[in-house]
Amino acid sequence: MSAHLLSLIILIPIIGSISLLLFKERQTQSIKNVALAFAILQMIFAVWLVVVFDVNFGTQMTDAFQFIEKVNWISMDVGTLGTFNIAYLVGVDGISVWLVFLTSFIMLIGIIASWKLKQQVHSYFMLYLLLSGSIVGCFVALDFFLFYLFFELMLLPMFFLIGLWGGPRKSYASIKFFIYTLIGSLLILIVMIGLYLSVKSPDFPEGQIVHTFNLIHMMNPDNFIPGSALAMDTSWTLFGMPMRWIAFLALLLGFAIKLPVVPFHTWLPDAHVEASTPISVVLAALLLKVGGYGLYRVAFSIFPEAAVHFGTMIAILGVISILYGGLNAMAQQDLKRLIAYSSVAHMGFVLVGLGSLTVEGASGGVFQMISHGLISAASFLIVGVIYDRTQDRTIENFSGLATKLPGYTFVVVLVFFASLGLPGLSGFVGELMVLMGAFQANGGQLILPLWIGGAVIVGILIASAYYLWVIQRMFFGKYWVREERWLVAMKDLDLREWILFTPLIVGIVVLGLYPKVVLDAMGHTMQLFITHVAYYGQLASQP
Amino acid sequence: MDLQQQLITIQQDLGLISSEIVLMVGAMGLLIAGLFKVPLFGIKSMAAGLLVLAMWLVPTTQGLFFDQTLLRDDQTYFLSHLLPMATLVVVMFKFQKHQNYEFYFLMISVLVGAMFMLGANNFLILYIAIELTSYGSYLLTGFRFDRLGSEASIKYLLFGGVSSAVMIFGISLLYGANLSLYFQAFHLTPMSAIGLLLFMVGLLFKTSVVPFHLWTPATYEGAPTDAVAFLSVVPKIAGFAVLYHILSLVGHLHPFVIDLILILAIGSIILGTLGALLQTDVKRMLSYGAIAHSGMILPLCLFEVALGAFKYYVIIYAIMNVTAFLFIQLHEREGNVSFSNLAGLGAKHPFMGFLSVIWSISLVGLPPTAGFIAKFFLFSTAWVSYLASGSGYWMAFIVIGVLSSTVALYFYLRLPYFYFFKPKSDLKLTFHKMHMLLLTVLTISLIYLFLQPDILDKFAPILKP
Repeated sequence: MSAHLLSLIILIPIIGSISLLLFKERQTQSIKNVALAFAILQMIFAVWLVVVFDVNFGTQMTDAFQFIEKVNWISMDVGTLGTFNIAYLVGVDGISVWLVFLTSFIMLIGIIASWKLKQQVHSYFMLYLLLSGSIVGCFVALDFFLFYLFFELMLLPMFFLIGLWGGPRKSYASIKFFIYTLIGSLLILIVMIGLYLSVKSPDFPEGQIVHTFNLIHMMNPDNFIPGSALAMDTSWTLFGMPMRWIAFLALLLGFAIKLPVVPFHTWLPDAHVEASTPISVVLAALLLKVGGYGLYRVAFSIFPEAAVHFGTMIAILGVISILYGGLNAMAQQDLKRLIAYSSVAHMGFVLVGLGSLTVEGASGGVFQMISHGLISAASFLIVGVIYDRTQDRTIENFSGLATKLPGYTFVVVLVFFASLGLPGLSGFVGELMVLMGAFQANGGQLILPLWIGGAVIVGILIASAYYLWVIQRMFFGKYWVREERWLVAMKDLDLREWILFTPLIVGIVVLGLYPKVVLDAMGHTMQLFITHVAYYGQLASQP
Repeated sequence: MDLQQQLITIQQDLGLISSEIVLMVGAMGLLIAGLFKVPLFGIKSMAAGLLVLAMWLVPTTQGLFFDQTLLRDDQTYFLSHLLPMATLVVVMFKFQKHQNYEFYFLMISVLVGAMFMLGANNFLILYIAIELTSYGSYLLTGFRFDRLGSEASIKYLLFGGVSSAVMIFGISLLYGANLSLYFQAFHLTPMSAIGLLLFMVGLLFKTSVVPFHLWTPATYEGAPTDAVAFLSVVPKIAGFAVLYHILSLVGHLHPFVIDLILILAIGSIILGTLGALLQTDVKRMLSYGAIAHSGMILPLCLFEVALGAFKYYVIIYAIMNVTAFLFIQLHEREGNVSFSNLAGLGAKHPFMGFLSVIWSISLVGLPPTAGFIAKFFLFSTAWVSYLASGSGYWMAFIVIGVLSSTVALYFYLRLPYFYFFKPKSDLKLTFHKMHMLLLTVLTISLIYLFLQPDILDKFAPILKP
């Protein structure tokens, strides 16, 4: 059964989504139970996947994938274009295995967070489970076409989840989210077609040119057809730049919108603020990670020499995100908007880490993605707690909550401290490793200017400033809320909310104290990845 | 060839146009049935039976017939199935006031014209076939007999008349240059090049490519919806098929012609997508979308390599368009459907809303729908052409074509957006079960063709080199 583990993890929520069709709209409780059951089932398989995952598998980037499943899907003769070979090809390496785990974990949390939903429960959970399946699919797809399919497929449920169950400006936010992300994915589509036409499958005998969408084949520059537009030795140029650089920049832009990177981040605060709490959780904890994962899996792995060339630029983009996102967060009145901007800042760390192209930095970037998955989920749930009670989340409308809601305050302080990078909590590990990578990359193949590390430290300081300020304004001082009627509603966390927060907090603390759990599997893959990038990067720079 | 010989040839080849003959005779039958006051259901069933018979009778023989004036090849084979099939779905649309025996008589006449267009190998035959489709189309446009419809019909007639005059002038130049009306006699000389360009005006008008698109929005808005569904598929695809046929015979085109066609295509995409942005009437929005789609199909007519992509695009385009117009027709009560008429219907008819999401997404060209496969093949073909020619116009076409999807998303998604996101309206609509079934089958086929596009190969084998 473990041979089909990945397919099961993708299919379980999708089957769940279809099976919900059997229920009637008014059977809300059964619908929730079924959705929960499918999410738990997916979680069980995800745990199983992590347990049986072999951390030291593979000796190079292209053979480090486990649980590979391959089924030929579309094979179509289209005249002189050759044969279109699209396969259902899935597999995981040390990075994606953790993202799969994170996905099933957060999707489970999200279902519990949606437990009190009252309107249109039926369609909500159908879309939610479909979203879950497509996110996992995106993380495990090793065929570019399949990856793109899942990448686009997650837009549609998300569009409706924001647009139907959101706040006052939900339709504006959902359209904006859809259009921004679509621009990115269309750029990826152009590169995908170009790559497909430039790569031939090595599974067929010499001389027979069969194009392929296989991402693993695309990572090996030997599989490119000599003289094709995106081959290593390409003579094709556009706007005076080699075609491969253009393709890399298009991918970078495509995934940067998703990540998001300043200045392509403007969809994010709107989408977050308007979406309901569980959807914000999924958006921040998982959808942003798809951007980072795409950079790692597609852009950097397939265009290593372009990654080396643009590494500094990517790190600088990351620094801009950290500083701009942080400063924006500091200026926000709305707690949810503040956390949305802090997400932008935290994703900047991912870029700096990947841009440093060192094992420490890149692992730190990916570790940051997983840690931010937990922290941002908890942060948005924190906002949800206060919003559920008062339908308000303006920071200055609350004061001295610590005296009245001690349990809630404990959670908030712990999560915010993790987010600002307190040692012993998960945020610290990622940020520290990114910093190490940033300083280490100052020398050797890639020259990352020293001020980048300095600017990252300033970014961490800004994060401390706004988080501590929020804690001070909302939780310390004399107990006061703006409206009389809120006083009644102000109760401490109930059982369901503790169930939501406990696993997240445990995750944050465990990753902070013992990051080895995740880093062991990740480190090996990252080592192979950096070796791959460095080898081909160097190869290309030689005359 | 003496007269007797000619008669023998005609007698021998008559079987090759049996589906056209069936349609012509049957159309007459419809007129006679109308005189005897056969109810509309009987008329529709008769038309449907005719179309099924016509599809069944499509010959598999290949070659040139009727003294080389008529071509039969793989492309005519699959299009001779596709066009009656699309017409069949249009006949199955819901009952409306304007539908009567004359309406379906005209529709089938236009179909006959379109089917002769597909196979024409002689400019004169082609011209007559095009005129046959045009006259019927002008009349179909005005069938609602109201102000909008008459305006649309007159607009269509005037534009059509002018472009047909230009086209016949082009044909006369071609005849002067080549001393023959047969396609294969074409030789590229300055005069025949000018003739070809003028001749293409007629086809570009039929396929509503910028700058010959001006009739499209008015016609789509004023004509009855089932007529629009028919006009946006049958004559248009026939026009593209002729364009494809002629351009492939011309052989190696002068790069200038390719660039010109690409510029027209890019212009259609830009104008179509931008024009659709601010429309309030759903059919007008779809008309601009159709202009953009014309811009997408046009470059596919350029090369032999494109046959696969051309075939997929037109099949999928036909399904998407018919589905969209069927959906709109089901929402019509009197007059046109504007977006605000659809507000809040999703709460009462979530399944209809779901179907509208699928066909809208397909028209945009997003997975998991067939529209994505169509665009995917289109842009793959364009990439290949770019690599083969290195022309910047191809790259511009790819980038603009792909990015236009974002704008297209905005306006196509407005329909499901109004359906689901807007507050409830008190509009009461009931849908007949059969129409729901038809719409569901069409929509599911859009998803199915995404999952298994290879299935199209089985229905229409393409020419192997």
